Amino acid sequence: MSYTSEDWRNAIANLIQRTSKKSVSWTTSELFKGDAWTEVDRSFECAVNDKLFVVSETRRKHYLDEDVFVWNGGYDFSVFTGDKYDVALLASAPNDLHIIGNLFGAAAANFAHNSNVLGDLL
Amino acid sequence: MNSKTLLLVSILVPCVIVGVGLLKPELVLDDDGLSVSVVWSFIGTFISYLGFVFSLFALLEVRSLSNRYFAKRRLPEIKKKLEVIANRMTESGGLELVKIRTERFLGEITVLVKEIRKTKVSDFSPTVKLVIAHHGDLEKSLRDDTSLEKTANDVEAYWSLLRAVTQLADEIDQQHAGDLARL
Repeated sequence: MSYTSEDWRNAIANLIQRTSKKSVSWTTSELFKGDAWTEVDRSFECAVNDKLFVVSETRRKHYLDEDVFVWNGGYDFSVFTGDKYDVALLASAPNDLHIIGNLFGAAAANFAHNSNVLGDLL
Repeated sequence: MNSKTLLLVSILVPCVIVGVGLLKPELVLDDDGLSVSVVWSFIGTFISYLGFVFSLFALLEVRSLSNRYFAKRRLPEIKKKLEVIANRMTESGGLELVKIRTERFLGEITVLVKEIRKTKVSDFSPTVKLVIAHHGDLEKSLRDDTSLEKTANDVEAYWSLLRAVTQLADEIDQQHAGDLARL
């Protein structure tokens, strides 16, 4: 038994819905590290029960030959568990899902709103 | 009719006739039986029929190539538009249904669905049907005057539509990757 892309898409849509209803709130995160080919630009996390959901904007090196590469932008969605000092990665979504990009947009907007970005000007 | 069944039928029909001729020669040949001229005319007919089948095959193949080329040129742009729509749907999740009515993406989805159908890639049709169904549901709740104070958040069809739209974008990506490998 494993989760299909369909399951991931439904789960992420549910998280977008919760974000939109403001029943979860996002903060910046350092949990997701990427790998040798992947740089993490920005990352947001939110907690639902005992799980931490982390959505990140990533850049991945795509090598054209041995030493020439271009950056490919993308998004990552990972689920962590544990407390502040001992966090373990549970699973990552397949990264070819477009809806992860939408979740990142929603999370960034939610974070900006929570931190009262335009508060001093409006 | 599907092009493959058309080809299959055009190959099967002469096979049946030849089969009948072999099993019951009296149905196909007259009293003279098998003469040299009958054999030659049979060979001639067979070869010219082969030519007909091949040109039919070429015609269908050219049509599918041109469809594929059209899809290859058209789909990346359609995908970008789908992404824009999905982003706007995510952003306007907190709006009331009255405001959703005036948003442009609802109309744009209908136009895009038509354009996707024009590319004639049959792999998309289940998801396209899903998009149309959820779009219809959403329109229904937009027309319903009792639910106008609700926000888009509360309408399940809104999120189902968002899911279907992103699924369509994912499928276009996969199809495009397959197409790049094939040509």
